[in-house]
Amino acid sequence: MQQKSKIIVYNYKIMKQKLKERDIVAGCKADKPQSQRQLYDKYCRLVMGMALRYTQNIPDAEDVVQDVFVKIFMNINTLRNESTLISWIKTITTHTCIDFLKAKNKKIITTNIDDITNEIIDNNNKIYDGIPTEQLLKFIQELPDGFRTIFNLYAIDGYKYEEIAQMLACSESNVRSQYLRARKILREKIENYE
Amino acid sequence: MNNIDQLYKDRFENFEAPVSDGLWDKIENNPTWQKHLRRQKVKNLVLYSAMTIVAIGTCTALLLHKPQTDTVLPEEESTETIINKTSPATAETTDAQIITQQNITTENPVAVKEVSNSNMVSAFEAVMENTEAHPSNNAVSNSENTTPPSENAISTSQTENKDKVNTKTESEQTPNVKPSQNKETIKEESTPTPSPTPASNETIRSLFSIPNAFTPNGDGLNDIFKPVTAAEVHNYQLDIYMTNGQHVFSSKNIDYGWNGEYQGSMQNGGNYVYIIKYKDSDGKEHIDKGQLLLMR
Repeated sequence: MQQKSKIIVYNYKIMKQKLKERDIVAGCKADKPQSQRQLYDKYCRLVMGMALRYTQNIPDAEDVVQDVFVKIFMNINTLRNESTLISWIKTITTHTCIDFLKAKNKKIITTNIDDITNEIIDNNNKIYDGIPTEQLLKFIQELPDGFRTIFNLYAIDGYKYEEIAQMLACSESNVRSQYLRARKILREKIENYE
Repeated sequence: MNNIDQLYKDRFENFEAPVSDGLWDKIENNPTWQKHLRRQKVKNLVLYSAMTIVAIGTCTALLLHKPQTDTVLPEEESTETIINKTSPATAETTDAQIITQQNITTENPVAVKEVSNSNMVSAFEAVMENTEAHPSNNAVSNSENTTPPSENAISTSQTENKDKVNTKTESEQTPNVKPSQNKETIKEESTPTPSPTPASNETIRSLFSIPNAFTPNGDGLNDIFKPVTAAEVHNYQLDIYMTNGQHVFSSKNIDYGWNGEYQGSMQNGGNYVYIIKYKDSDGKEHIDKGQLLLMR
């Protein structure tokens, strides 16, 4: 009985949250500054977290966050379904990050490694739980732009090789080898840390 | 899935990082965002100005439309022209001191038949205008004393009017499709009848010649319902109601009649009730009531 009531309360909370989200989106569509502020307060930390992964320092990440929110406010009218808001924001952030890196370096992928034969086989399934998140972030930020972007896109944001190759205008095999390289570097860094 | 991938995915999929306080101000002052806002403002301004222009346009159109209906009164002109066209003889007879329908019928019965066929109302107006044209006969009441035949004509025609209203209420038909009845009325008029005293009282009571039907079809003939008088009246007010009691028209201007519209839409054909309130030159209050037929 108690469990049931808990579930009801939980569902009610979710419903309320969704309703609030819908209100915020509607307000943003009507260009209401208050709703825009609410949307920003709700999602700025998430966007900042993503931006930090793709960029190397906080000022760059904040520039990205700025661009992301301007894009969100300008294009929120194209958002049809409010329930896809988070994934929509994530997509915008990813693309903004890539654009930012492209503008900075002209080409993100400088090294062109096409040899799949050089594949790194690591079957070490050791679980690293003791490393703080800040340190992991630092490791990823230390990677070169190409490695970092591909690792972020593939391992964390769940894009496929094909999609990444299209986004970065390079070959699929290149993406794959770069990703494996990036992973190898990260593993070394983590093991060294421990 | 590799353990490194898993580690990073777990830690960073919904990773949130603190944001510096000044970032919102930076977003607000972002040049692209400012540009967008400015463009929005201009867009809104254009939209609102367009709306106001449209609103002003409609207002002026409405204001201009109303005086048009006030000024365009084809009734008098059209009836005059009809009479002139149909019979120059009748126009000549206006020079004679007293004009009666009797005379007209004797001089040019065909013309009068035509006139009466087209509409009885125009014939009434013709009589009223003829009396108006002569300074000797300022009012109908004057002409009554001096000219009993004209009084006959008016009184008989008014009694005719009432008969007609009754017949129309029974069978809603236009007078145009009943020329035989019109001819009968002319015949009745042509035979001189001694003036009955109640009829003359009636003419005193009602200073107006009120048509009992009109056709607001835009052909220039009887498109507007309005009572006509030669006498001087004050505090004139005309109200028209539907048979179910709904008020459809009101006017305080004697020259401004009903064009058959209510709230901008043409009303269906049928019976309507008019009430005319006015004061005569002696300050006595009069109320005329009757039915009118709107024909399509």
